[in-house]
Amino acid sequence: MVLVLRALATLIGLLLLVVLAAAGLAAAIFSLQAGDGTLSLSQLASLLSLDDVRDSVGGWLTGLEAGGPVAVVAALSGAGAVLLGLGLLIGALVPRRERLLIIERSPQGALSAKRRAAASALQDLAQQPRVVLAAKVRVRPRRRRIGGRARVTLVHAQTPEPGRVLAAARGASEPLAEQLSLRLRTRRREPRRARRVS
Amino acid sequence: MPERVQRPASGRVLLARLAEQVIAAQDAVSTTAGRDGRWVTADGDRLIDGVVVAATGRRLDVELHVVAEWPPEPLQQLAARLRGGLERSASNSGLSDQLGDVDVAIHDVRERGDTGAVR
Repeated sequence: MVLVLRALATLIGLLLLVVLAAAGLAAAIFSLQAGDGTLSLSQLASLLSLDDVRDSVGGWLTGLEAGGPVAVVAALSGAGAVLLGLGLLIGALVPRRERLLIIERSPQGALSAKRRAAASALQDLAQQPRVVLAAKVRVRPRRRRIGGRARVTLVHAQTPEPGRVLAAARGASEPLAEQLSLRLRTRRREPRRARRVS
Repeated sequence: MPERVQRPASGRVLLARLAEQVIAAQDAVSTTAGRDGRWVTADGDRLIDGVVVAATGRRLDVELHVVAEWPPEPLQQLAARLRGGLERSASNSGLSDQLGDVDVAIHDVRERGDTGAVR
């Protein structure tokens, strides 16, 4: 379902960009001539049956066509709109590259891991103590630098010594976290309906 | 029927083939082309999964995209094993002067025998 919605959002975004680009192109072409020429903004307003709008903004358009501060502002706005459009196109079309966790960099090359792989391995280790019902791990790599942070959230059954649960889970996952150059943070959460472990 | 012309393989393809053989010969590690099949090198009619070779100046940098087996051995050790194997193979094949950096990317950690798709 989420995949369908994501595809739909991408498609709609792309269509909006195409419409915006076409509108910008039309405005640029119809700015080539001043006054009531074939390629003037006034003519564009007539073609689009926007005579009332033309009458109300006619004065402003005349100022836009003439040299002066209004034209400078318009030129800068146009350039900004072009840059924004290009940026949006890049954002929509260029594939996203997942940020990797860089574990080590040496003269021979780099060693890295996908966030999901690191999180899944840490999760398996954190779930080893018997009293832990589930563990959720979130890995946040540093940008362009070695290592990062890992946050482990443990869901555990009711126990008189919750501190020991944390310590046990931490002890199980810490060696791997060190290997991955990750700073480990562990926290615990009891399930809403606590289950007692016999 | 016209005879098919066999072109000599480039240094890039030769290194990719060596890297593929090195990974295949190692325990507890296998190659992956990634979720969208991006990490490959074309070798004629076939693709070498999990190996990307790119030229930087006169050298050829190699990226190895792998899946490690659970429980993973120390990852630095695994990377050193792969690099060492590739350096030896390149040296034996007379390609050591072309070999640049060897990057290793771990895509997943799996139980032995789990052949599901990489997420």
